[in-house]
Amino acid sequence: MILFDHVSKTYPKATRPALDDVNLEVSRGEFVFVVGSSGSGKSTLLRLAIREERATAGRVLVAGRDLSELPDRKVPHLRREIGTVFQDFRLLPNKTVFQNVAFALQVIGKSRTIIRQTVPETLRTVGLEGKERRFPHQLSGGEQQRVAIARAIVNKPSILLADEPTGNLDPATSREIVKLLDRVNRTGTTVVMATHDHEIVNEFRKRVVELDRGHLVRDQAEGVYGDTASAIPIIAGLVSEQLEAELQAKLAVPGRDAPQADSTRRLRLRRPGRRRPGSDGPDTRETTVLSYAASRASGEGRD
Amino acid sequence: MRVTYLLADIANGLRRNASMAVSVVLVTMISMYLLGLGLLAQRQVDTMKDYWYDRVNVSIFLCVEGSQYASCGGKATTQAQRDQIRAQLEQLRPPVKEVFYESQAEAFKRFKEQFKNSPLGEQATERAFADSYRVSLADAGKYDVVVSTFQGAPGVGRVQDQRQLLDRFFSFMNAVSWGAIALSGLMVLCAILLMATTIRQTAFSRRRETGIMRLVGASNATIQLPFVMETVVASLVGAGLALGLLWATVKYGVTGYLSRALLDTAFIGTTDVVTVGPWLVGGVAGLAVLTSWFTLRRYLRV
Repeated sequence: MILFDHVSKTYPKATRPALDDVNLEVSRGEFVFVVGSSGSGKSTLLRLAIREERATAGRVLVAGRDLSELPDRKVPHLRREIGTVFQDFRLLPNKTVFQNVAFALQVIGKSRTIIRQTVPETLRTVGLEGKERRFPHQLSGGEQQRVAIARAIVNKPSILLADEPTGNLDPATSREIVKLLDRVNRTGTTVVMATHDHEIVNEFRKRVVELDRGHLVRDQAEGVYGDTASAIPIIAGLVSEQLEAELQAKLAVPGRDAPQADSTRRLRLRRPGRRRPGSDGPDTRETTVLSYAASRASGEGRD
Repeated sequence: MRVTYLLADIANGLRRNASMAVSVVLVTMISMYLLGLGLLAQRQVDTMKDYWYDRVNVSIFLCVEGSQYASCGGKATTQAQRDQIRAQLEQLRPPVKEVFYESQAEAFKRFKEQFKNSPLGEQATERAFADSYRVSLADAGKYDVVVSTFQGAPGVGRVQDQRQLLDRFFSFMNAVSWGAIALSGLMVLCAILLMATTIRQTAFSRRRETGIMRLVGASNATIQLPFVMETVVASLVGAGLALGLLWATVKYGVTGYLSRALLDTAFIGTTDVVTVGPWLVGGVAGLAVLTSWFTLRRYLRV
């Protein structure tokens, strides 16, 4: 559904890349939390997925399209398959709840009949029945975010990208919003949510992808926020070709604790020589991940 | 995008941005009015040329008693000389088309008639005029033939091509009309800059709306069309008003007043406004579309 293949993004005049050789695959119907501190590259990841930005290097594939080769005139068609939600809701203040949601359909040329039918359904889905005629300023933050989600899903996109959708909300409301996103996910929509909300990530136990200064440092099924101990290994740029071959051989030994199918899918081995800019030696986290991977492969440190 | 939605969006945009829309209307109106006046002045010159070139003659002024011209020798032209000149003129057909004789008294009378509202008419005396042959030419360009035949001939004081006099007047009219066109060029530049500024300001004030449109997958045309159409509508209203003003100017100023005051001159009419109209309207529409397109490329991310 979404594939980042050795993707780097450097903004003009930036001193370091916002994303540096990121590999990530998100399958259809998955729910993924993208975590990391401010400036780690979460938003850039999402912006690349909707072709708001172009990758400096590597390939981004979304909904079967290679975005580096997608002509500008076809970008709107891509975006019709992706819903987007933001921290600041981005509602139109002079339009009612109904009009805000209908707007998304009007501007892509949907008929009035479809709008009259789809919008109330979607508002029911997000729990805003009876508030169709309210204006954004008459709603709470949580309700405004529900309107934004309704607008994002009204055209039934296959992917929903949410960039810190709970950033402006209190914990209880945040939980409700993520529950709503979870419900959307259960209907088959792939959801990628960038967040740095520890409680939410820890509570919902979804797949967690962690970015740190543009590097993908963790990809964990049913993960928690900031936990590296149980991470699926991401061997990042410090493995010699020989060691890589040895590791692959050990991983293939029968009777060993082979990584689960889900884990092998995400295992990425990188060629040596790519180091994080400004670092002389291996990053602590990367060393940890590497030694963990090696010990796991040789059968040590098993439970 | 559905047409009803587009129309509603354009009306909404114009209402929200009324002051800027009015300024675009007014500036377009003034620039198009000036341009229209310039173009109509050109047509007036052409009309007058057609009218006058059919009527102007080469005038062969004869000598009067005390004439200063060398060929006159201070004496009036004799009847024999007159007959000789007449005969020579007859031989020159073509290019000579018609010849008629205007006596000193007739010339004086015509002058008094033409300048009845001027002090010149009162001060003139009959002695200042001369008998003349008025020669109209089948081909106005053959003026040289007449001049070379009669200039300095016995009994001929002076040969004058009236067309030269008229040409001076027409050059003046031309200069005035080009001045109006140049001025309108400046106003058109103002209109372009104003349209660009308006679009830029509108694009900024609607950046949230256009941002959402982009995110939900609206096509570039859908995002840009309301901006272009708002500018086109405002400019066309301006051009329409300018045409109305031009029509009123010609109808009441030229047809209603000038052509009644100056009976012996041909003037343009409201049909000329109808002829100029489509060019003005088409030009304005084209200008608005081009300006919007260039401005949006720069200031509206799609």
